[in-house]
Amino acid sequence: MTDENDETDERLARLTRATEGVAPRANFNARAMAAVKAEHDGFGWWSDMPRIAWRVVPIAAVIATLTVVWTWHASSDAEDALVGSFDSMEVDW
Amino acid sequence: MQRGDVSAFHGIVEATSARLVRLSARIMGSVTEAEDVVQESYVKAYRALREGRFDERSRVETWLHRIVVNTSVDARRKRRREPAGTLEDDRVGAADGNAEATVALRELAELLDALPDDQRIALVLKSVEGMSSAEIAEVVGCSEGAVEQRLVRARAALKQTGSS
Repeated sequence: MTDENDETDERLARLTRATEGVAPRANFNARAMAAVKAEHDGFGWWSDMPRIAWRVVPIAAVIATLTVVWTWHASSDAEDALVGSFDSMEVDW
Repeated sequence: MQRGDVSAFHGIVEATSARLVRLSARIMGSVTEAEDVVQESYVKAYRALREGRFDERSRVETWLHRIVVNTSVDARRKRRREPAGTLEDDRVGAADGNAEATVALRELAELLDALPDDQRIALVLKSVEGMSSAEIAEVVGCSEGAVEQRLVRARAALKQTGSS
């Protein structure tokens, strides 16, 4: 087991040394940056939408809920006021 | 940088491209494919930075290693589905005259070809890239114990392949 592990390690060590010289071609960085630049140029307000929505949607949901509650509350207050005014209405013949 | 500064990203590419292409080539067995993988990885990393998805819990270089390893694994899976000869491409890729390295990459790929992706990655990062188990665990996103287990299994599998 140990001998065969040693053999594997030796082979891997030899291949490691032999591949130390592996390098990208001379124009690789320029090509990679061109791809990054294309990605950058592809960004617009629509591509920012998921990120914006992630922050805006929960806040908008809270505001909408508060608005519904407030509207419901305000309308029931107005209804109470109306009922009250009918109660106290005097009918004049 | 978090907001997607292209010139700052250029500095990252300059500082990391040689090491990342070598890492991917050792996983893929091909310089040409490694260049494609690393280019795709840079685009993914830039997009993540732009969208604020880099949480800064790990170093940028470790994070890039993780992206390159995952993209290499995906590319290998895709290659298995769509086999294509790359030897000719690699001869073009090794136009700087490093034919010995190209042959060694191929030998390394053949040696590790039978291993599952997780064991192959652990062995390349440990025995070829010289990373510690802790560094490997951070790159691949598992525990050090799991890395050790993968290394033991990988060596056992290579032993079996060697003796058969």
